[in-house]
Amino acid sequence: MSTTISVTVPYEFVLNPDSPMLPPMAQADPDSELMLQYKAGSMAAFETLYEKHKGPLFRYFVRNGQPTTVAEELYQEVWMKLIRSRGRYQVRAKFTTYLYQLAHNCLVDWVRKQNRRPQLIAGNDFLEATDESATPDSVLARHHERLGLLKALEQLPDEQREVFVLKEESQLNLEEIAMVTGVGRETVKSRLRYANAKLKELMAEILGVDL
Amino acid sequence: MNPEASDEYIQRLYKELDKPKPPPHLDQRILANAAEGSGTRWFRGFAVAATLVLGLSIGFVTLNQDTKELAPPTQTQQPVAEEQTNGFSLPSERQKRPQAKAPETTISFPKTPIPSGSIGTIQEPVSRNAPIDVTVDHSGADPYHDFGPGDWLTQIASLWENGDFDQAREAFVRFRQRFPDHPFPQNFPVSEASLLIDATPP
Repeated sequence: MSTTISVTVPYEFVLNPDSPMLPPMAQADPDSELMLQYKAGSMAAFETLYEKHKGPLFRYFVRNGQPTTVAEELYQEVWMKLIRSRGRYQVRAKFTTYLYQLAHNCLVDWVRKQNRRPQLIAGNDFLEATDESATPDSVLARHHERLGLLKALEQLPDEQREVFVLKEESQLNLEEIAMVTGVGRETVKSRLRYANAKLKELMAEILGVDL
Repeated sequence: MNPEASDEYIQRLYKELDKPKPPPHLDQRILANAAEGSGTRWFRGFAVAATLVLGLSIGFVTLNQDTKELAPPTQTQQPVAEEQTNGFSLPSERQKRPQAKAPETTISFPKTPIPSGSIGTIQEPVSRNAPIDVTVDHSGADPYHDFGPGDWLTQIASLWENGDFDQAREAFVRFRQRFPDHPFPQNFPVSEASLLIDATPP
């Protein structure tokens, strides 16, 4: 017995796979197509791209331990690089991979120049009662857990933290993270495994519980 | 807690963290920079420049036309004719413009008798206000149309010497009508009075 599932795809994301106008990668990646449209002069395409990626990209810098002012500076630098180089843009990978490659390079340059440890706590996370049924004790406990996670992230090695944040914020897969960071897929997989293990260990110490 | 559950716990906790966003002024700055480089901005600039050039051109042409119309006429001319020859002008601009007054001078035509047989003879006006007579007679050709006074008198003398007195007299009458003040030659074969005797104007 077979079951047929019908899926309705929004028109904007239906790309003709036989279209000669689009490179193969762009045919599979709507963001790459938007970037090509921006390259051709469409400001609306850029606005769509910007709205989609601005939050995760900004958090990439914040979660990697940069103060808000630095995160803003790096964030702006990435977009400016993208705008300036739009004329040379060619689709060789997913647009997200391209964007985070720029971000990774900016971050690495900055860290090399500053040679300082990340500061994750300042300006991040305050008490937020998101669940109305939660008791004050549970809200406080959740807040401590989030602070614990931020502290644990702060203590992670830079490479492990970046891989973890990239996976959570950009939704890239292991191969794509490998392209962004310039290492092999297995290295990324290993860093991610170590990052998770280290976070659990650190949080157990901070919160005094066994995870 | 088993490893998979603890991984999920960390991921869930991460997603619960607040989600800082770039400040609005940064958004505006980046979008402005993006717009500056996009084709839309270029096209807008081009459109504005083209509109300016077109507007200035129309203004220049209109101003030029106004100057011509308001200038005093150098010759007797009719405003209608000028309006027709001045070419293009916007109707709205034409309404706004002060109308050039038609000159008071009127051109009229005298009742000066013209010999029969003359075609398209135009008697030149004595002054601007003097009447001009234009009579077109299709009854016959004027044999002296292209004659100057000297040639004409030579022809009259020849007619008289050949015995064609009537033709000579008729030609002299015409001659006098066209050249009333031309001096009569002293060595002419016949006197002026003789030529005018029995001369019947045609």
